[in-house]
Amino acid sequence: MTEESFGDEIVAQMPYLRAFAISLCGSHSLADDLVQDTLVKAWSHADSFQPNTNLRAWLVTILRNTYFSSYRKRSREVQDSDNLLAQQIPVKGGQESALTLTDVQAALDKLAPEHKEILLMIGIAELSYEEAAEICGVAIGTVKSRLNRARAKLAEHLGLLTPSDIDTDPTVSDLAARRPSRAI
Amino acid sequence: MFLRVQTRAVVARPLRVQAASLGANSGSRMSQRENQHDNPGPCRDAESDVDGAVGSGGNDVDGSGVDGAMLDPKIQAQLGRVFRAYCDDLIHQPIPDKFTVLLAKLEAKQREKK
Repeated sequence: MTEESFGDEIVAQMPYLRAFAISLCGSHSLADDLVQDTLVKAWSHADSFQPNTNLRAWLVTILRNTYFSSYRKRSREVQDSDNLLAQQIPVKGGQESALTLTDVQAALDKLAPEHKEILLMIGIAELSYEEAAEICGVAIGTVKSRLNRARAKLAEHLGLLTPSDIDTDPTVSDLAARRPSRAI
Repeated sequence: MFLRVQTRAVVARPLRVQAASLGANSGSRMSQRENQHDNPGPCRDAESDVDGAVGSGGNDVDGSGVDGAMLDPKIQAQLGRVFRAYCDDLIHQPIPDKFTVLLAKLEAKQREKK
């Protein structure tokens, strides 16, 4: 891979990288600092990137490690003061239309860090379960389990369900009935 | 250490095939992913992979033996719409010029070294 194409490839990943950072930090300004640090590290370690592998996963790995080593504490401090998603845009559709993007961010920020990061890796960065598992150093089953937890908690924090709806213990037949609902 | 992740990700693209193939009823999406690297900018189809994050129920068990919580299909659908809107908004936000400048500087610096 030439340097030029490496740079171009990074540019192509920027929307996902920055979106992941904003959501992770809960702050635009902090996210931009984090992305900047990530880009500098990525370039200084460019030789260790293996061509024909997933550049986005590689960048997310760097960003995630940088976040947990240097940014997480700051992130908690600035979340309240930084007007993250100034646009109070109602999200589309149905009875949840009163929810805004800010509500979603607030709900995400309440998640356990290990749940939140998995949700964002799959949902925003669009990484595979395998990639998320490798980045976090856990088994794929753990990734799926954390995703389920994250979903349930997010729904709870958004007021889509009551706490009593969570932690049910579905039977196998329940599972079979619910599986097809994936396509929404 | 953080550079180790790529060792097993032999197939770089499509990004989402592996994840999609793990979910139920998602096989048909695979073909949609194959050319995604041809798109210069973020582009999401209606069957966004946000579904993979919040739109599906599962009952996978992690090492601790704790079941993942299940959601009612209607709630899953609501959550999927809400989270997808959130993700789409973030991904489509314009990238500040400072990053373009930074990347150009980093590239130039690298070129000087060689």
